[in-house]
Amino acid sequence: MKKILAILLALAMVFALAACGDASAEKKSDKVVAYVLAEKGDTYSLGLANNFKTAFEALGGEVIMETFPANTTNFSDYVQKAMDNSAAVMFAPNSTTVASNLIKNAQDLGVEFPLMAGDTWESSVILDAAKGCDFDVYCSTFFDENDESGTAKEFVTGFKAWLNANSDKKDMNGGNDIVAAVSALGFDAYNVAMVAIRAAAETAGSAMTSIDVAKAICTAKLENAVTGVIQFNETGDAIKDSAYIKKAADGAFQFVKVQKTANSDSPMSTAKEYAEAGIALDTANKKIVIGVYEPTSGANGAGGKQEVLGVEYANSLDHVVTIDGVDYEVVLYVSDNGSLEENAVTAASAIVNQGALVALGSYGSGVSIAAADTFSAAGMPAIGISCTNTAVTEGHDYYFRTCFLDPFQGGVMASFAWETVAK
Amino acid sequence: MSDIKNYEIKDFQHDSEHTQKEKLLEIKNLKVQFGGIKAVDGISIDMRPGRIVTLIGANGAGKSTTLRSIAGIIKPQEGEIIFQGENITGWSPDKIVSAGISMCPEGRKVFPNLTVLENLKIGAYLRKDKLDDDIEYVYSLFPRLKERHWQFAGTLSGGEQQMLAVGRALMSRPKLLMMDEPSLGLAPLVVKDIFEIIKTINQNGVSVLLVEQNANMALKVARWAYVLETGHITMEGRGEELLADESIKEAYLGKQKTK
Amino acid sequence: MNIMPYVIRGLATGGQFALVAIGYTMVYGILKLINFAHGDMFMVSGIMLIYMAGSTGAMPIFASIIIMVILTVILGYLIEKCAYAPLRTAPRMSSMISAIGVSYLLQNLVSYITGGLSKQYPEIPGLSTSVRFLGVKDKLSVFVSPVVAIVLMVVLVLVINHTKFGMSMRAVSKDFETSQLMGIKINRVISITFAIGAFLAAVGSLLYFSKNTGINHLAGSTPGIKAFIAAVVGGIGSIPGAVVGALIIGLVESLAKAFGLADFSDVISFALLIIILVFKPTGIFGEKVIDKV
Repeated sequence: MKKILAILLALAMVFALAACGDASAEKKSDKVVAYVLAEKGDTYSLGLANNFKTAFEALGGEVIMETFPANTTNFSDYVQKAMDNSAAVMFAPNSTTVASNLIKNAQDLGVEFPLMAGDTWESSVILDAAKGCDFDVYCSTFFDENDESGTAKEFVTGFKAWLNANSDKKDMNGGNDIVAAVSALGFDAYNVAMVAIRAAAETAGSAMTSIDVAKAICTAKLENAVTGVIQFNETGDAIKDSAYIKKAADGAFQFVKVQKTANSDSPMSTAKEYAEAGIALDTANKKIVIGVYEPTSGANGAGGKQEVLGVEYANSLDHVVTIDGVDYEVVLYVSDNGSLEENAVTAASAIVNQGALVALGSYGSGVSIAAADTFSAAGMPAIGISCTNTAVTEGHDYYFRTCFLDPFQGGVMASFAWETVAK
Repeated sequence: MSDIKNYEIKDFQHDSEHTQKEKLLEIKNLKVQFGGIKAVDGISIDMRPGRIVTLIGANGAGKSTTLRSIAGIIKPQEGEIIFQGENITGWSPDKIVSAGISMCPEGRKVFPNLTVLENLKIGAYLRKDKLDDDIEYVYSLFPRLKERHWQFAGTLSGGEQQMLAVGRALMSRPKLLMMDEPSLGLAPLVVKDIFEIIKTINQNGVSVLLVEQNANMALKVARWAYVLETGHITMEGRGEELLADESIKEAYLGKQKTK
Repeated sequence: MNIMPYVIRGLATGGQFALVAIGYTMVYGILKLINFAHGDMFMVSGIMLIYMAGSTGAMPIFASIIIMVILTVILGYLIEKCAYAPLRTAPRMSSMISAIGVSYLLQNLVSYITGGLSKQYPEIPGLSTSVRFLGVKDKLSVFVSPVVAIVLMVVLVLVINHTKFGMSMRAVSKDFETSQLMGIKINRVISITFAIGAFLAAVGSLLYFSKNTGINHLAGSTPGIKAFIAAVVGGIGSIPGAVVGALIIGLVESLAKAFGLADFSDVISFALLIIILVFKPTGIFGEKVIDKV
């Protein structure tokens, strides 16, 4: 009984203190404040958050950055913190699981500033969560469904028809025919791989190995790519100069604008040197395997599946390569990394064991980085589809990627945020 | 005295010719094993209503196992337990309590987190009627419990806990009360009290099946006694007879410490 | 800075954890088993409501809530019957491993059904409405959570201390065999204990998920682990302890965030756990050992 009284007393004191705290309101900073929220231990989230912070501060804003532990489900206190600090915008580059709670919490608290994030938020989960919100929810992305340029339009129409014709594929896409940017990137990544394989076949014939493919990727150029011309710079990253900003409203993503940033990188002039032996062409079975290294389960399962869909759609359109007059069937081998870095080596090794000439993926930078050494050891090139962390290609000669990078994305979002709220 | 004695002998001899109906408890060829070890290996016991019967024997002879089998805690591998003409072998403990058997376990096992009164009430768990009279009856046997009825049973002394355990066992209004080592760990004076109470309870109409290592006390109160050794009955007879028996004296009475 | 919102939300989170913590503590009290599947049962009850009344379901919300509560209670009962009852006489470690197995089973089943995607909890009329109280704007469920937790705690304590069934629970928690000798059907008492725990988890899930609406197969793990800490801090086995422990954990974590220690909020609650275990191993409300030999 005494204990209960003591605890009640303690509670009363906390309330009294809280009430006193009300009186002493803090002075507000003159600067425009952005509140940045990242997840501990999440490479993607922390990387992008830091890039945003650097860029936003460079523009003259103030950034309050906080991190939360994995599996957090209640973000009210973080949102409250942002409100207490009179944030003008919140940048929260987190998983969709986090986002769905965060957006609802912000709604409960009556937030008025916009919420922004990177490419991960382009998901039906965000659309559901953002329904009926009084504030704006923005994300940056690689591609816009409503892009009217020729190749993009052709892809969107074709992909939608393909989804609608295959109900299992449509289920994989979350039960709708919304074209995710990552599907477009997957489509492009497959086509880059095909360009490289054909180029390798041209030079080496049926003696070609995965090393020839890797070399061909270095200097490959995909003119009619859906997400803009793809060419790789010295580190193996596609040279991008623009990102699409989208807004979640009324159950759909609305295109807001193309945010351009200058990119002075130049394409790789000559192919890299590779020491490994590589994987030989399977002349016995007349088959070329392309590994698809993606999370089809776990936290990023939804996004991973959408990338796989893009790749599968591309494969359905173009799946025969003629080498020395013989037709080779291109088949996909999908290996699930479960969104977990500890599964990376196993999933990547499975692709190597299938004798793939090139691997595509993954959604999520952490798993890609974790698999890089396995691909390098096997002499197999890998083309990242939407892994945006710089460390994916840095120091990994076999890793390329078709999407933009976090510093780029963070910078783009920082300038967009600055333009939206500071003016 | 001698008249009574003779009468009792006759009375018992008469027992074996009795029909089952007149027996309170009959155990036929009971066998219990624990993972290959035979704890009880084919014992048979008869008990008439209104008696105090005791099982004596050393540690591990199978006494407690026998009681726990009767109470339904252990399922015997073989044999039959017949109570008031009904085969209760394999019944669940709650059905056995309802049938009229209650047990006062070894080491008292009062519920330390329940008050004295609650311990008594839980003894009558299966009864739906009023308990006031029974509680008064237990208090009359053990006035100390009444004084301490609001205390947690865990705070009682060993002797008081034993009184409570006996009182609790009486609350289900048993026909047969089984007591497992009621004297264990108690001071000699308290032991004497407990045995007095056992007699009183028996005089009030409850049959008692008593398991004891304190053979001296047990044989004094018991009408009939069984001697158990490693799962077998090695001897049986009237309490006084066994008390006078040389081999019993040597094994269980005089030289207990060397055992 | 205004601390009031953090205090209120801390108590709310605490109240929601409390309902889960009571389930842990009751099962521990009676079986001396940490039912690791408890947090996942909590998650499953959230998922069930989504499939009945959420975007994929079409049932009326109130009927769904009632069915959800009933199904959760049945689930709690079945888990005990299938995973723990057969191991009653086995070493305690076996039941513990069985509990971990059930936890993973539930998570993976749900992940299979949902595809690992986060689903939105349906709007609960009343609980999901936004209100302003003491200058704090949030969902009604936030303000009622601690109240519901305390009311249910009081009811439970009264039941356990003043009813025949409560008496049998206390008896079973001390001694299976002697309880059986009293004629108590221990399996029934244990089943009912699990059912009560499941019922509280269902109520807790209603309050918790109406606030934290995104649920995936891992949604039960954080509330599960926090409630477990709360139960230990409060004194595992003690129901008021579970509630007080949960309110303290909720409040401490929330205030840590208020004072700019967001990065350390988990560190603080685990540090609290360690401090309590070092200085008072039985927890705040821990039972004194009163057995006499």
